[in-house]
Amino acid sequence: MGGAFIEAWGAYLPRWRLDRRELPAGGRGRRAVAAADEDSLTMAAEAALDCLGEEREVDLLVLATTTSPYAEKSAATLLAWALDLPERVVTLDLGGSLRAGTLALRVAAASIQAGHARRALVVASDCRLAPPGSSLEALFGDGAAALLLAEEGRAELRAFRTVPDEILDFWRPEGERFVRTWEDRFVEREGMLRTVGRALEEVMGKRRPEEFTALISVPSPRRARELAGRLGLQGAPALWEEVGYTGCADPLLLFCHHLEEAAEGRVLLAAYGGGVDLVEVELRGRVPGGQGLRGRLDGQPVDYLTYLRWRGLIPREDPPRPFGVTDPSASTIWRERDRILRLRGSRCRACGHLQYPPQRVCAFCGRRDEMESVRLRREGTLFTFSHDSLSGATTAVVDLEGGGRFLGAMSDCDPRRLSVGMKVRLGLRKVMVARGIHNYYWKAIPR
Amino acid sequence: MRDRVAIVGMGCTAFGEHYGRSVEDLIVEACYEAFEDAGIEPRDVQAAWWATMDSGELGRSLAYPLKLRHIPITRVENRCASSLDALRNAAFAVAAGEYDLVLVCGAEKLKDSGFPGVGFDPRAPYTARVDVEMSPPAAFAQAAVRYFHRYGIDLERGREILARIAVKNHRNGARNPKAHLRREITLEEALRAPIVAWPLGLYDCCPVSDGAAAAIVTTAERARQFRPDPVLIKGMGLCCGAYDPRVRDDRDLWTLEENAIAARMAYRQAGIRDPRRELDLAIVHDCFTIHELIIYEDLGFSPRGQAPRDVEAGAFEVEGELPVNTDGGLKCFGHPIGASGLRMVYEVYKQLQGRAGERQLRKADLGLAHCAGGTPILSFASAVVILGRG
Repeated sequence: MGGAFIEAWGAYLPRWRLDRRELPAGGRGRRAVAAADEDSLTMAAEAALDCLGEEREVDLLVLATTTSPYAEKSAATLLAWALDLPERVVTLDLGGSLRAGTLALRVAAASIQAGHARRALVVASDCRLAPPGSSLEALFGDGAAALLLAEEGRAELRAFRTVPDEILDFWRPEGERFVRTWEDRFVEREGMLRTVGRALEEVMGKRRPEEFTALISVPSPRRARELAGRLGLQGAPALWEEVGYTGCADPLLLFCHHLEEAAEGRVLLAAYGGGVDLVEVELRGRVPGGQGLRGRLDGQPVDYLTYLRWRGLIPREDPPRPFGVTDPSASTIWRERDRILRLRGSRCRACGHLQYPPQRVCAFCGRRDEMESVRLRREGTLFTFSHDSLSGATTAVVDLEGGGRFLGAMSDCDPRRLSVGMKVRLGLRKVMVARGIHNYYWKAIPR
Repeated sequence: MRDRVAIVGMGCTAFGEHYGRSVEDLIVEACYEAFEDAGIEPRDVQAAWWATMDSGELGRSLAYPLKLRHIPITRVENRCASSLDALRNAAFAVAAGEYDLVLVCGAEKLKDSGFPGVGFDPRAPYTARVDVEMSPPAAFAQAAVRYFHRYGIDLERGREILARIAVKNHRNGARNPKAHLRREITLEEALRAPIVAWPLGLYDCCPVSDGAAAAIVTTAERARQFRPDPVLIKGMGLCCGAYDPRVRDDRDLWTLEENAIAARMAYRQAGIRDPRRELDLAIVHDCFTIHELIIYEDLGFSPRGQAPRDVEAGAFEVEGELPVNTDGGLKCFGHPIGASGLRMVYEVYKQLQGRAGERQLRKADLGLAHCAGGTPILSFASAVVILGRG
């Protein structure tokens, strides 16, 4: 069997930070907060595109999340469409555990090693909720990370060890929104310290701690330091103070953060959650990443009330509906999925002009059915824009690099700071939820 | 089509928030005023054209309140251009010799939705609901951004130019007993008003109104059997866009070409070469002040880029070279979508007949009505009708 290597990495953190001093549970630093139109899937798409760049040759896509928009329906398949992956890609949804990210790595690596896939994209993303005022609310952060595995690369996934443990440490039952937990002393001592500590000892064996950089992902920064200290391991800085604990994305985000800084050495990645996953990685050079996390750990402040509204934790009045507005149609969404998710436009073979949405009759030269399907670039500049003060909606018309014009909404922007010619990019966002349909589309976001 | 068709009766309700009146009430009021104005009975009507966006489907929704049984009734929808389009089609039928006497009615009841606006563009049932649904102010603000960008107009000056148009229309509307809003405003009030969609503020946007209007149409030959001062249709134009600015990245929004093309069609039929000099009044589609500004250029009233200067010089005030929106415009008369085109014709009709009361212009021989349904980025259905004295 061949090895499994990391070819590239990507990460995404939402722009927004909630100062812990604003939270009833208090604390130091800030936690990352997904915007109203973000969720695990949109963040996964951002991290994945950050990792892939323009690359699309992927055979296996594994999406790891404990907060999928759907309990039944493959979010990984939706993600594959949004990433415009080849139709042959195998899609796999992994959930149910805080170790879903590292388990996804294990499964993807095994697939590569067995020759079932030449390239596998692992994306871990979480947007977890805790009861307002709880200590978990202060602990959690939202984010996503992506790793592209291949038969070659500068980081080798050398070994996996998975030790499940039946324990009620963190759990969220079907139909409930909030993560539950037990007394923190119980969870930390009998869960984190006992399980992770023992596994680390066994894996290290007779090897010296100085050989490793330990990345310990446990939902307690204090216990993470304690675990490293006990075994004399050198840890890398955690993301708790700027971001928070990001659920099943946490171990992969820690790993990406390390890959951005390190170009050699052996890494021991430990992921906690109802047991422990240990991943041993050998670095033999700098692994290419996307935009990077350095400089993006900080963000813009958002206040507590806004956070509660964004997460739907405050009941809102139903706005009146204008005439003729219906719920999204599943058959229409399906028929248009390539132009909606894959961002496909049509280029006329006769005159060469790119138009979006795709047309049968060319808007430029009038020839019929001589189109080829082309994916739009996601970078562009603002042709025009507007902000509706009543609804709060911001619209944009974007002229995209390589051609094509995009009319849509804007997000993560200050409407007072928009200008013609401003650089924007298209990012996947959730436009609405109606009739249980989580409806995704691209929005323009300032670059 | 020039001088072949005449309007011999018109009616128009007051426009406003008529919570106590149904669309049937509004239809009856407007149509009976028109019947009386023409001196006819409802049973004399041989065919009808019925313009509304959302206030009635099928011809039967016009027949029902008026009890116009068993005649041909065509329901016309082209958003804000519906009633001018309906008039256009009625004129063709009369000019073709198929009918002698027909009714055109436009009505809209917007205030029952509880929604503080007219709805979004685009709009169609059973879509994927992913495309951004633009409120009209947000859609027209996009055009304002491009117009100011093209001509290098900064925010302050731009808003002031738009405010002058609002002040003008309020001044005119204050003298119109049927207008929805009848209060003069000052430039400062307009500039200080809350922003709705930058750079458009409260006074840059027309209100949401209920209302109805109607016209009785006959041949030019028969017109004088009904009244001594019929108004003749001199020219008509209708131009429908194909979403070009949205799909073509070589299109811009400082000109809204459907308006220009519809006007050229009508000018050609009417034999007009210099609209600014030859027209005595123009009632145009000022859903937003920026639209009126761009219309000045697209309809040939101002040279390209010179509309702001003309506004500042007062060219389109009632005392100016070409009075525009003498009845208060959409801004003050109000905008019940299906009725607006005919309400514009009503003002031209009254002016041409010397019956415009306090608003009467000294010279009123040739007038223009223009309306446009749609939005800048998604293109328009633009209609223009030119009317003259018989």
